[in-house]
Amino acid sequence: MNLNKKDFEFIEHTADAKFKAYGKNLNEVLENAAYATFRSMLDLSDVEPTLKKEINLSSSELDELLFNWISELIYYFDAENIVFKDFNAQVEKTKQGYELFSKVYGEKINPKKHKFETEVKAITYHDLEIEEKNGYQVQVVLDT
Amino acid sequence: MKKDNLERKDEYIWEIPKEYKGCMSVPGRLYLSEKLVDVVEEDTYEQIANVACLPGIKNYSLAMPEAHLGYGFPIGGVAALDRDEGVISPGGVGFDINCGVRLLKTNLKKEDVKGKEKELIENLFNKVPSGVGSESKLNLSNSELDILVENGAQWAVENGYGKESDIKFCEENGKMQQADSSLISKKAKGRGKSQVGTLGSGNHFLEVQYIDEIFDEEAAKTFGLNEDYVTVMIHTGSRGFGHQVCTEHVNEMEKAAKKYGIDLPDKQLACAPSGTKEAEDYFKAMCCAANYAWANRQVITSWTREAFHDFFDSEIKLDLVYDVAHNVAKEETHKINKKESKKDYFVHRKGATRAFGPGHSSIPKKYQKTGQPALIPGNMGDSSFIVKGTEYAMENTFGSTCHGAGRKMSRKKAKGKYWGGTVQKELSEKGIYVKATHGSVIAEEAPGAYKNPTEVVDVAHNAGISEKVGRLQPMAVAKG
Repeated sequence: MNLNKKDFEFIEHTADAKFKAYGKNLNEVLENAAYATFRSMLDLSDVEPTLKKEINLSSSELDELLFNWISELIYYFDAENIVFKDFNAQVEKTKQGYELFSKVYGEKINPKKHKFETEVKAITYHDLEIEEKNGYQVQVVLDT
Repeated sequence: MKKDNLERKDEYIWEIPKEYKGCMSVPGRLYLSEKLVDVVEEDTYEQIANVACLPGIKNYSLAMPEAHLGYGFPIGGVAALDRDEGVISPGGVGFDINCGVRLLKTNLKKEDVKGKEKELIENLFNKVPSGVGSESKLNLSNSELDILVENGAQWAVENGYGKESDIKFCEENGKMQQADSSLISKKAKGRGKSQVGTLGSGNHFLEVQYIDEIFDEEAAKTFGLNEDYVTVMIHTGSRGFGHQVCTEHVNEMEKAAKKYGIDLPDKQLACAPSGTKEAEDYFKAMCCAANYAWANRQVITSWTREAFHDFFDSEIKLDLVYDVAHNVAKEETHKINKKESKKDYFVHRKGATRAFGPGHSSIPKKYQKTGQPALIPGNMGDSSFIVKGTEYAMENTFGSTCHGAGRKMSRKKAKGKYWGGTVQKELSEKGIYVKATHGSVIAEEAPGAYKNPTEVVDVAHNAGISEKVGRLQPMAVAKG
């Protein structure tokens, strides 16, 4: 389970939200990027991880894997009104690229409890970076 | 890119020379005042230069006076891509496909609303679901949604949301013909089904305003605008439906760009040559999302009318002046100069408004002589404007002008600098009542976080890409 929640930082961007996330391996960097995505919307200490979803996907490239992973989370957020706070991701390298198996936890949006600061519409490919550097680090621009 | 690399061509025209970047096939051209040049982030110039690298781009990679940093395209970006030899790029439209604005004029005067702003906006807030996670009062089946996305505002009117006359005052009559619902994924439908008739959040709003100044008597008369009369402005888009359509196609285009050997300076500019399956599929799906947005604004219009009727307990007139899209790609015919013949383009407008000049066949009969009305929302503490399209814009900006003031401060900075309660109080002292789901939304959208809309609209006016018709002052605002 992702317990180290400080492994990301927000970067100044006029119109949208931008962050860098870090992790000692691919699993962790993807978990931290997911956390940062939801943290850009609201204070996650108000969210209880009572509801579980399993998300599995595959991509040929790493940046596409990151794009698809965040897109999938935004999809469940928007279509099923679930806000997530805990993420458990397992990435496997395959012949075709990468496969991701994950369990993600959160709860249904409750407007009385969840004070949204902004709403993420999508992840963009603009300035998207994923690199192996003292573990892994990613850079993401979200359309808000 | 540094601001020093800009070449000044005219008082309001600045260029990024073609030589700035090897991949540029045309120069970048910005409509800015000296003052506005200083507030444009340097990365924005880079984004304008990147757009100039798209295959088949005609004349210039254009930036309207509110130009600021986006992703892929800059906000305020306009690019015309050759219909036969160019590309289509979802990044040139953005995730909120057909985010747009509509203006309703009423037969109420400012005094009729004065003192009742709070109650009126509470009524509107109750009628129109807003904010993150808010659900529509409509719950559509997949097959109903298919009909909706192929028919746009026309679906709404046919289902009792509004009147027949609303249709003709929407860009494209509220319906892009090429929409094909068979190209819409289950996921897009999943996001879209429960959001028809919702405002959303962020910079989307519903605002009660009054007309405080008329600049062009004749055009104002044609648009039916009179000083001191109340108007309502609605700003929203295609919600999660459009976001999902764009997300899926950016990914497809990413692969297509590689397949067709298109080298891009920014992945978010992913594109495919016109005529290819990837380009056609995106365009048809984009049209579905554009139609979703028109249906959304039409349903909200109908509920706004209900809220006014209930509140004033009488038949209040709320007639549509016009509805514009400011994130969209359109197939348009343009004649750039006297030497060249008419040609077809995919004109991408990302945070820019179509503003066709007088006599264009795409604008309503009623507005043929004046030119198309374009609506430029300000922020919740500042004026909004209604402007008209010009012949100059037809020849220079593919009939486009600005779409708003544009941010100058990030949401994070705004939250650090302003406190929602204080902003709300200050606005209330100015006679503006703001209702939002909670305080931080107000802090993020504080007037100080935006450029001055008057400055932006004046540059567009002085440069000649649109002409001011009237100014609108906020009285009461509902934010998501």
